[in-house]
Amino acid sequence: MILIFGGAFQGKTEYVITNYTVSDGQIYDCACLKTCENDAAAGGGDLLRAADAFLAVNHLEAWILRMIREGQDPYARLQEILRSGAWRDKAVICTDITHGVVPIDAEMRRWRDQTGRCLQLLAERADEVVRVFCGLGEHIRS
Amino acid sequence: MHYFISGGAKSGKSMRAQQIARDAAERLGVPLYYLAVMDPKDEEDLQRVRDHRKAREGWGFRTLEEPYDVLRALDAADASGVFLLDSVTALLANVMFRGGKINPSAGEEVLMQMLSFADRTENTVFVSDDIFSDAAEYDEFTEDYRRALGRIGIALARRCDQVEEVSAGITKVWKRPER
Repeated sequence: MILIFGGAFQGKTEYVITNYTVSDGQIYDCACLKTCENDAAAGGGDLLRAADAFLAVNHLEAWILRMIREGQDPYARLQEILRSGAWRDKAVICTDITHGVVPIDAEMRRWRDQTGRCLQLLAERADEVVRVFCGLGEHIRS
Repeated sequence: MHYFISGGAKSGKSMRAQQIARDAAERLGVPLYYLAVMDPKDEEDLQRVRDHRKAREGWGFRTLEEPYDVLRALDAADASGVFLLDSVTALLANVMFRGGKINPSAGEEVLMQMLSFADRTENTVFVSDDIFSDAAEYDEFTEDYRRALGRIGIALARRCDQVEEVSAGITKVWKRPER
């Protein structure tokens, strides 16, 4: 598994497409779970079942927020997915939303904390960890 | 040689950019220009302009005020000089929200403006802001602004010879000139 993270609009998806021979259609986009036509095919946001059809998962932070809003525990769910081995050969792209001021809104606070924890978990299990800044990637762990 | 410098608020990126610009102008023996893009709207803005002026005092900058189109500054400047553009963030905000209206093509306009400026000059230091890592769901306009600034940042990072990220006054170099 490869973890690619960094700020919003920094070219993370483009970085993956350029460097990992993944095409746009092979990326499962959690940010458009509600509108994407492939949602049903991918198991309605079930990332474990989605794993078969895609080489990369994008906007994991959007999935984390969705889990929180559905009253589920994204960290526990992510642990399950990683334990299953289904993401062994995937690229996982996540926006790092953990740097700003602590949000007043409790849900946003949970989102921020859970994203930070999930990033740590992913980084621990990943074979490569890449941080993207202005379209440039740095392997912070190989 | 062009530089692109980004970082958080009060991270020291302006000071770093000023040093790079001044050293380059001294080394090359060319004029040193500061592109002032701030369009002061209230007393707080005016105070910020005064603070920035003070911080540049004695550095040898000639100030060119162009809050909407920095290419116009080249009419009155020596293009072989060193230019400091601080910041792309402020310029984009000016162009996008000019006169209280929203300009939907601001991102594209500023992107083209920046690339043209890089083409027409030899030594420019572009300063931008890292505003991309907070936990918030923004309205459509703010999101458009962030998307545009991100896109301009990627394009400038590709175009510039050196890319630096400043945090807590410390510089991390993301890209160096190819030898």
